[in-house]
Amino acid sequence: MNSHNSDEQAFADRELASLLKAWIAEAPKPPAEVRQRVVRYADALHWLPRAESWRAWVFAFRLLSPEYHRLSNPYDWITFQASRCRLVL
Amino acid sequence: MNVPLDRELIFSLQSGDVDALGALYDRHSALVYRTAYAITGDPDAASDLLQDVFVRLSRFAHRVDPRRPLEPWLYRMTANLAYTWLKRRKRWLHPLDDAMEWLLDSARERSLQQQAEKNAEAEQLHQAILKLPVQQRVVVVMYYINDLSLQEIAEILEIPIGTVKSRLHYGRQSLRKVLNLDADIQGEVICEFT
Repeated sequence: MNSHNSDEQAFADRELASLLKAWIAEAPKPPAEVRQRVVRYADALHWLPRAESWRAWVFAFRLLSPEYHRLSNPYDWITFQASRCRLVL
Repeated sequence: MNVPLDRELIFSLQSGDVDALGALYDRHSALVYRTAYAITGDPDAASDLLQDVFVRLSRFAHRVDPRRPLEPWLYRMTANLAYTWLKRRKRWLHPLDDAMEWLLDSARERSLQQQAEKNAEAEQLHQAILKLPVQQRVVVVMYYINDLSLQEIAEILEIPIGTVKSRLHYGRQSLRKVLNLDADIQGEVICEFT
């Protein structure tokens, strides 16, 4: 009985695993621009000035940026804005 | 052409090579995104988390030990950020979600009726996963989707292996119930992992 149950469970377990794998295989893919943003952030981190002055123009972008609301970490958002500023300047 | 190892890419990243980050992203973004999507159930959130994880990899590269595999670090960061995202979402968006649900109910009903039944199973599974408590969900995702062992999950989440087993047990039980996978199984011993 125990062995029968354990076989049944193993079968159900395999079925569950294959259902989950099939489900995740159909999941949406990440947008290509994520890679670009990641690399740009990383680049910004290397040149970002530590002086107070950059804060002023970073905060000027704050209310204008739709990306701000989609990022969980404001620091990341700031580096992103900073990299954007560098491109503009 | 030699493909650089993760270890070499991490060394390069630590010395400020942004291309190394791009290469690590190409190699590991699928596993991070898959994990984030399975935990949050939201493609936009999964994209944001994917971005966050790699930005953090760049910021904290100096703390990553190149001699150890990178995947556990990525899984841990993904799970932690997903926890934070879910917590934040619960705190700020639930009242809004409820209102939206009420407003969208009739529209959704119509749209659901129109949807082909081919998606029914995937949707049922998706909903079943999202109904799991988040701690069980993370373990189920790591075990079944990412094929990690119990020991690996315990190390990544920094919890005892017994806790991993028990979360997996209860998560698995809930999923099987929803998906009718255990109709024939009788007398399963609940305390087998304690």
